[in-house]
Amino acid sequence: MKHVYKFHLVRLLLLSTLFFSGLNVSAQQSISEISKQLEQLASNQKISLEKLAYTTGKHPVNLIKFGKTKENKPAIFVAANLDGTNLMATRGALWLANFLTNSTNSSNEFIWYILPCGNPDAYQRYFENPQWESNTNKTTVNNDNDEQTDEDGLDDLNGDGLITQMLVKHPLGEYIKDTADTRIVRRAKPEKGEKGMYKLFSEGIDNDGDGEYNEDTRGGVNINRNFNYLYEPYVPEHGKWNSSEPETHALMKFFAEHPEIAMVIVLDKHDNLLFPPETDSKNNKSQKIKVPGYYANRLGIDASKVYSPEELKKEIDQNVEDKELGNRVYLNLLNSTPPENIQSDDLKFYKQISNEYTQFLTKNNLPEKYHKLPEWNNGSFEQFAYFEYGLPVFSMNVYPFPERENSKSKKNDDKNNSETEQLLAYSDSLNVTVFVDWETVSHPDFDYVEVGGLMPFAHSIIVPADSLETRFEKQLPFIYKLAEKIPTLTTEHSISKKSEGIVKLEIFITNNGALPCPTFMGQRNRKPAPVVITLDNNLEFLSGKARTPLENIDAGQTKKFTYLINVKESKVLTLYIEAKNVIVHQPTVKIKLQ
Amino acid sequence: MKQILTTLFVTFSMINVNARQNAIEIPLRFDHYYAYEEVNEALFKLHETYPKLTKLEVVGKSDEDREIMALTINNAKTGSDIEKPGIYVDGNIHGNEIQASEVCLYLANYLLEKYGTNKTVTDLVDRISMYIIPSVNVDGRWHFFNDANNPNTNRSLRRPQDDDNDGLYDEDPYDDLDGDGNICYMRIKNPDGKYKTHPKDKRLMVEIKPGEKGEWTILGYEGLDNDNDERFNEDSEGYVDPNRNWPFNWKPAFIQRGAGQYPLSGKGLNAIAQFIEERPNILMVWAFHNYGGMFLRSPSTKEKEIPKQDIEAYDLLGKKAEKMVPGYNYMPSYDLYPTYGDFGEFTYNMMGAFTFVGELYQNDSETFNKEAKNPDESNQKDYERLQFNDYLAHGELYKEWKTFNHPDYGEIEIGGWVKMSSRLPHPFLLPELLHRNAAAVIYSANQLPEVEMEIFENDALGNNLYKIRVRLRNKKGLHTMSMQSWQNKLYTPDHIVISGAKVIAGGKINNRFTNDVTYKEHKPEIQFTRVPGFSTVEYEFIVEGKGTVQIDYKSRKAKNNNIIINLK
Repeated sequence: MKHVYKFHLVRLLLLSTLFFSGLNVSAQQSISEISKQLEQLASNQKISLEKLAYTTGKHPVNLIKFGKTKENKPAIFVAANLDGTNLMATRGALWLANFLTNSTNSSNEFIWYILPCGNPDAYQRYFENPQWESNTNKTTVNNDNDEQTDEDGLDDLNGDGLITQMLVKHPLGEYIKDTADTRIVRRAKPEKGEKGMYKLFSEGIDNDGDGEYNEDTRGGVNINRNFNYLYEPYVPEHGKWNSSEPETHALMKFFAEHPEIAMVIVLDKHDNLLFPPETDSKNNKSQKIKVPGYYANRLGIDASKVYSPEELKKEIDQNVEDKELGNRVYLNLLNSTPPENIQSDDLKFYKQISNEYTQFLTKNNLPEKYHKLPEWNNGSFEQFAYFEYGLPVFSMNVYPFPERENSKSKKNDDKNNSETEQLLAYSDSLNVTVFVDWETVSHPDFDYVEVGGLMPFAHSIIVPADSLETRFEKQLPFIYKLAEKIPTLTTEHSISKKSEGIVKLEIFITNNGALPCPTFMGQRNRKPAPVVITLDNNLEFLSGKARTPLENIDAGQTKKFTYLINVKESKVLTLYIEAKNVIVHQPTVKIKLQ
Repeated sequence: MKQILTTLFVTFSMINVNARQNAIEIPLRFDHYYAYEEVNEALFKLHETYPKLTKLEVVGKSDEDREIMALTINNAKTGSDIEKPGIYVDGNIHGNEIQASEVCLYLANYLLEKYGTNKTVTDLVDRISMYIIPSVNVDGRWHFFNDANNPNTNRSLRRPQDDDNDGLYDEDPYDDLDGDGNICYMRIKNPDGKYKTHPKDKRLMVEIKPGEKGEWTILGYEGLDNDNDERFNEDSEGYVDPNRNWPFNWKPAFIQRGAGQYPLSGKGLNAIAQFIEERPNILMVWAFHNYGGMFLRSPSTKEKEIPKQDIEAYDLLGKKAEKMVPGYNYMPSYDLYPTYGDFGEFTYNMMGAFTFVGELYQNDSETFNKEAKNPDESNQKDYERLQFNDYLAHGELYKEWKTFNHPDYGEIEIGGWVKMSSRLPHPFLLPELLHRNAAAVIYSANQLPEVEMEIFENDALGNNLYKIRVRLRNKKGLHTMSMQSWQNKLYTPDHIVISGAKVIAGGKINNRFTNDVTYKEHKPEIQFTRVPGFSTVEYEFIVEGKGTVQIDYKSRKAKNNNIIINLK
């Protein structure tokens, strides 16, 4: 019964090259150019375009839809570039849209929602002059909380059209240039006899004369910090409150209205396919649980004791006969503290899929080892989708940099510098310029100032244009492999006669997908729409009900459901598996009783 | 059809009991409860009668498209509402907590009626602005009046949720089996039951002691197993709790029941958030609920206490309110139970407004004994309350048990406290409750900051240099800016700006006798500050120039002020 759909990679690749005439992936395009092309694309019968919202910078938040919500199929939500600065992620999403457009049969099993750019305002800064990089949208924010707003922005002192950094010679300076590579500016180490020389600022002047530099630029709010889960308030860049921004609010609303979403794939700077989450992640606190008296009495558990989740699970397994009830109680008690890390039961599939991804890359002649990428931020879209919706969330960096050999970064404890070193080493190896060499400029406030540093969007412009699409062709089809992993249910049944007029019906449900239904997080938050076994309502059940929600079913697991039915005459009943975000093979089955 | 007719009849007769459909006249009467339409009518009449002191507007629409109304009380002759310190008062965010709206109506009616004759009221209305939204959960209010309910049901927003996780939405609500407009209790005779008849009153039941013979099993609220899942009434309307849907410390529904899909998913709540945001002068908020007799302040969880300066301000108001409304307790919200995503947390933490939740009514006052309070022991208390029902409410609060043939249970009895009871005072007790709570609001409104500015030194230092010292005095008890807002940099703080001369230096005077001044290094002409309640702050400027200088005090929530002086 294994689900027969297979992804014919070669054939689809062929098709995609033959009929390619869709979205432009080969050049960097503005939001309005992309929007225009998407509108053309949406004239295709199976494709539609929804503008989820307009940003405060008046750009549309585009969502491309392959397939229709009404089709009752699970949906894959691909969200690119919520950080706004990962230009290649947007191009990856457009490549994917082309791929889906040109493929004939591959998308039939799923609905695809593709968000090519979750943060259009930040993205659009690439096209501004001077060009500068920021994850924020154009919402007006009084960053320094003074009497004016947006009064001290960045200034292009050397007139190169780029906002970089500024080194100021100062008696209180803490920075020096690294002797090995003078492009790199780092903190002096007094313990090694070094004395700081410079103060480091972003490029600009003190426009409002308050002694601060560029502390209140135009904009804004970082979309990927503005989602609810683990939101950190009172930081101007996080928004006036959680979900305050049109981009964020629209996505939350969309998820609330689309229970068919079965999986989220995020194309951005994070990558939990290359670097699967681990139990000892920074946020993992060992939870202490006390069982309230009314539960404890009913379950025969010690109310005075403090349990770890593992101990509690063991205790409940030993004491509670009804396993489903035991599990519900366990999850309820667990929910006394909001989870902050990926649940240990879910780590298994992350690890397994990560291995598969690495093999996939190797097979396609791509490097195996990559420069370590950052974890999800608090208040991010990824956390929202995983913790609040219990969805499997995979982050993929569409163009990760290979790890440097004999990397110096291990010695360098400053995270930003190691990032800069990484970029410089990689750009040197590719012979690409992503750095503005330090040069002196005149400055109204200081005697000696040098301007230079990494160019805006260095992470994106470093990518060699000619290799981009080849890379996409080798890497992005793994997204299909991911989609195929969603739970896929099959049913079997057997009937036996217990006595005259009484029939025993057994229904077996098997999850043939590679993912659990739902994830453990989904079991905790009960957000994924339940899978419900439904039988005719007018039957006389001696045991069992017309509607039975399937609490959860692991990958590869089979569960049995038993019904005793009083049947007076021969009858055909309809078994229907009601499901929103899993694949069900043959959801409707006619069963003849007697 | 039969059911519809019954509901209509019941609604009509019920309104006759406690919510008379009289023509609404000014001054408003408070001997009954106002249905949703009547609340709006009352607001309209208030505005019509006092057009110069009021503004009436539609804040927005609810999930079921009903209008949410706001009445602004402000004397336009003394300035626009937005430039004065503001107080916001609402009620009935939970659909069943209806007397909260009557507090709002009473407050408005009282202030408007007494304006011009009572000095306290007149001065207050001239000095501050007040925003009143009597009914936040307008759908809830409408359904509470028009549908069968019990005192506890119908809190939610009208946004369907799958409470029992079976893939169906709101499919197993309560059912008014006997068609009397109330969702009462069901009980069944059962020798193995855990209850027996109360020895003094056969309407009540008491728990049996070990070894005693049982008589009753309580089956819960009136209803059917509409969805045949062997559970009763487990997926009623909603449940999205309108007081867990606000964007501060919001937690999803698996942590905080009733949170809703995302903050401000409630259509009407979103409109109200915008209404408040557009009135940044609001520094004081009251949100009325029922019941229990409490004045609750922030925070709503124990994770982090609020700054002590703010607790002092709350104490001033809360301790006074306890005396004005005897029996009510002032306390932090987390002491009741911890909650996430409350309205009050939003207004205190995100809008910078001191916020009280007023939990109206203690049914301890339903007494039939010589004491003013009922005994604590619950059986005894219920007994007293039944006497109250019999002798003072003449049977309107309690439905006598009657047999009913239930499709699942067979012969049962239905009876108990009716909808308009328990959490709602009988109308004859209503006016005192309304007046005392409205008075507590008026007291807090009176404590909104009133800041005076004076120049207490203006000395020539030679060479066109002058030393100017400014004092801000807050004559009232509330800070011009909460410490919480100040510490978290919520908005541009109050500031003093001096213009008309070159400012050489400027800073805060720590001690004017020892000349201890903390100078601000950059932009000395602007000094950021806040003026605590009943306090002064002092600043010094050294300026170079001639003629006059202007000194402005600017505040988001207190009234701006300015002085022009001659350098001498």
